[in-house]
Parts: sequence; structure tokens; C-alpha cells
Amino acid sequence: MVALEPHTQTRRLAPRGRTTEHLKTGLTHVSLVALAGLLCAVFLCYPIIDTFWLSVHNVNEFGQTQGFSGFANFATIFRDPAFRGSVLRSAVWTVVVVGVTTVLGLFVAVLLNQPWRGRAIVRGLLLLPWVASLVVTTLLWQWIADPDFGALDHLARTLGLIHTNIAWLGNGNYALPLMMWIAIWVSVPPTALILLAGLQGLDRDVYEAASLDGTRGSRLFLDVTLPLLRPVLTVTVLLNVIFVFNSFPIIWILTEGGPLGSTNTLPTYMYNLAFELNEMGAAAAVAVVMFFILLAFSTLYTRLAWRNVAR
Amino acid sequence: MNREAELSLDRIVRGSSLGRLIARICFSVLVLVLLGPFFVMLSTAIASNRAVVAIPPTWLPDQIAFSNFREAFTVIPLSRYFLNSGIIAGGATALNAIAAVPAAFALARLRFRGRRAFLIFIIATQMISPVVLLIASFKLMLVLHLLNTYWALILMDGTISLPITIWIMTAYFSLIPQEVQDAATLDGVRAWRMLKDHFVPLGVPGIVTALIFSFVIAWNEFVFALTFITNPTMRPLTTGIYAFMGQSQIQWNYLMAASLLAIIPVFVIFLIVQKQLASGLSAGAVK
Repeated sequence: MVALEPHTQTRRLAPRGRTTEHLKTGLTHVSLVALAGLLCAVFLCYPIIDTFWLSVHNVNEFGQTQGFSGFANFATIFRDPAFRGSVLRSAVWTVVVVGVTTVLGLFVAVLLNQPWRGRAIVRGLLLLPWVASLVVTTLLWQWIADPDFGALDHLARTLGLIHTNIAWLGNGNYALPLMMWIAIWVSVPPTALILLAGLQGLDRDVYEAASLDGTRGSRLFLDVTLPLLRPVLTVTVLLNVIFVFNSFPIIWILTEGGPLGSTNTLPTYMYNLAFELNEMGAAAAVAVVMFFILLAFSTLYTRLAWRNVAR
Repeated sequence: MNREAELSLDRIVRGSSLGRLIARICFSVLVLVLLGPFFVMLSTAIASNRAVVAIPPTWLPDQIAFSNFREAFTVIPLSRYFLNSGIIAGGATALNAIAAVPAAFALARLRFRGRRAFLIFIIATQMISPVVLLIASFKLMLVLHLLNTYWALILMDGTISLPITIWIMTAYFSLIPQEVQDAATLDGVRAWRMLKDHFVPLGVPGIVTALIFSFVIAWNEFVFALTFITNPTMRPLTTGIYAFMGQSQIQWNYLMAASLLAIIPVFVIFLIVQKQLASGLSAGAVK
């Protein structure tokens, strides 16, 4: 294989044939990544740059810019109490959903990693909440939470927890916790299955050595399994944070951020601003804020995770 | 390690029997909670129009109507939605096949200028979510006159899944023994031929895993479809079903029957390839 490290000295000295050879190899390599690079540039990078551009301009409802506006869009959203509420709810939403998901996912993964009858069936069925689209699972939960005919009220009544039906989604106190639960419910299976794959990849010899040392049960889990699983766990948490922070369909389908904005998170707040209120510039500013929140988190998190691994 | 030794090791790993019992009970409850909603979906999907609105509700319908699955197609324009979703998800998957396979091969096996930068770029783009891209990509599709076309969703859905498909495939291509590449290089085989003749056949599990991912991402995508497609006949299943429930009184038994039908194809594919899928994901994760 010809490494294409451009070194002016040798290149000048090289015979003509070799130079064209280099060029050909270089072109081949470029052609391999060309389409992927082009698609990412046009449909990922350009929109990001354009979002930044829009956020510092006055923008009409068709997305056309009408003059530079500095940080006016940012000032507008920072003044809006609904924006501040959405930031807070997004933070709570992400921390609770990812936290609970990781704990439950790890628990499920550990139990699925042990041999028992029917394990394969449970593992297969656990794919269901994952493969069903969020629209389908969200509608299913809307039906389950139906105040007249829903299974949730029926179950709670059967267990004697409530005596009159609750309109879960129409009540500002219950709507957001229920949606958090739905988000956890859809996130646990994929998290568990990825962690399970990680567990299965662990070296059995390490366990044997540890068990010869007399390490047992929960100590074994805490001292051997968890540290070994750390790289997979780190990536899982990072991906879940990105995914959950940006989660849109659950809230939009169930309440569109209502009642009275009590379930608005940053994605629904932004969507409402852009496509219901036609405030494209301000909405772009929200997107920029979201981008930086995730960037800051990812950078900090990977730094910390890596430092711990290195130590 | 022989089977007996493995079993005894598992006994050690699992810990005390009381702890094990408690763990088992918690696990069973959790599994019930995770799967219970699908039981509700199934029992609603086969409930007759009268049984579905029974007061008090029942766990199993006293009147069963399998005709719901047929009725759902006449009440909701499901066949059209299935067709639209199929074209969009198929197109996005094809786009991934032609763009991600060569790119992943180059990243995994070749050395070229900008390789590192491209890898970092691929990882960084995983952070970008559809919601953040929404406003500018809507504007882009407006300018390109692609709103209300399949192309808008094929291009967007195909591109947002590119980073993850490239990531998974790169992990797989890296696992193929160096000898394969060395032998081909000695024979004077060039990159594209090497990919076609040697790496694609050997990398099939990884390629399939990654492409299934792109298919499912496109099949289940909601935000772009909600924003780019306003023409009812062009809607995919996700926004089609969503828009349908927005109108008039929702007939939940038809909706659940339709949802069940929408899940089945994807579920079956996942069941078949689940082993590779999970290992592909963790391979990508560890890298």
C-alpha cells in the first residue's frame, strides 16, 4: 500500500511515473470517501452553519434573512420565561431519564447475561419497545393513559391506588413524569442490549482469576465487572444523553408542550417557535443554544471519562 | 473452557441464593412492566368496536374482531403510508450502501491525508440531532424545491444515519485480517476492486447490521417527515398515523391494529439479526 504522506523533498526527486502513481492512489482514496463527505457537507454541515447564520439575523417566515441583528434573537429568548422553564425541564428530563435508564438497563443486561430457561425469548421480546417507532409507542401510551378507557387507570383502580380516574396527560403535575417514564421505557431495552453485548465481550479468565482470589457476588460485580464495562457504559451514557436531550416525538405527540407550556422542553419549545409562531430567527437561536449545551456536555464528559480510564 | 467449568463459574458469579431470588423477582416485574403495554396493544387491536369502549375496561376483550386488521386499511390509508415509508426507508438505505461502504473501507484500511480529521468529523456529527438541523434543512429543502417529495426524506434520513453506519462498518472492516489486504496489494489490486472482491464479501455481517440501522432510522423518523411533508398522500407511516389520529374521534382498535402491522416487519428483521446487531453496536462503541 502506498502511504500518501506528502514530502516535498522526495516528491521532487521521485521519477515522473511515481508521481502520477501517487496522484492516482490519492484520487482513488478521495473517490472512496467523496459521496459520504459530500452528503455530510450539504445536509449536516451546511444546515448547522446556516442555523448559526440565521440566529444572528432577522428572518422572515420563509427563512429569508433580512439584515443582521446581532444577538437580538438570543436576547429575545433569554427574556422569555417559557425558554428558561424549558431549559430547566430539559435538564431534569435528561438527567432523570438517562440516570434511571442506565441503572435499569445495566440490571437487565446482567440478568440476561446469566443462563436461564426462556432467556432468548425475553431478549427477543425486549426488542419490541425499541423497534416500534416512537410515534407508535407514544400513541400506545396515550391510549393506556386514556382517562375513560385506559389501562393505566384500570390498573391503578384494580390495585386500589386510586378511586377516581386521573386524566394523566391533562394534568400539569402528571404529564411530564408520565412522559419521562415513556422515554425510560423506550430507552431501557436498547441500553440493556448494548450493555449485554459488552458483558458478553468481557474476558472470562478475569472472572476465573477473581473467583480464585475468593471474590464473590456483588463484590465481583462492583470490583471486576463494572470497571471492565466502563468504556461501553461511557459511550452508552453519552449516546443516551444526546438522544434523550433531543427527544421530540413523545412530548409533541402527547401534549405539544402543554398544558400551558408545562411540558415544554427545548426541542418542543423550538419547534413551536419555528413552525407555529414563525419566529425562525429566535428558533435558530434556540437550536444554537441546544448545540452548545450538548457540545459542552460531550467535551466535559469525554474528558472526565478518559481521565478516569487513564488513571 | 468446558461446559461444567463454565456452569460452576456462573454459580460463583451469581452470588448468594437470597440475593439471586430478589434479583429474579425484580427482574420479572421489570420485564412485565416493559412488555405489558404491548399486551394492551394486542388486546386492543383485536377488540370489537363495542368492546374497546367498555366501561369498566377489561384486560381481554369480550368480543374479538380480527377484522380490525382489514378495517384499519380502509379507515386509514395504510397501504399508501406503507408504500411511502418503504420507498423512503429503502432509498435512505440504498444511499447508505453506496456512500458508507467505500468510506468505511477507506477509513478502516487505507492511509490518506485527512483520514483522522474525517474520523473525528464522523464522531462529532453523531452529536447533531434532527431537531437542531430542522430549521435550516427545511429552508434548504424549500430552496431545492424538494418539500413534499420522497427525495427530501431520503436525503435527510440517509445522511443523518451516515455517521453511525460508517462507524459500525469501520469497526467491522478493521477486524478483517491484514493478510487479505496484503495479498491483494501484492497482486496489484486497486482500492475499489479490493473493496468489491475481498472486503464486501467478508464484511457482509457488519454491512447488513449497519444498513438495517439506517433502514430503521428512516422507517421510524418523525421530525423531518412532520416538517417536510404536508401533502397527505406523501406521508410515511409515522406522520400518517399521527395526522390520522388528529382528526375526529380516534378509533383505538383500528389504530392499534395498524400500529401492530407497522411494527411487525421491523421486529422480524431485528429478531433475525439481533445477535450481530448488538455485537456490531458494542464493537462500534469500544472503538
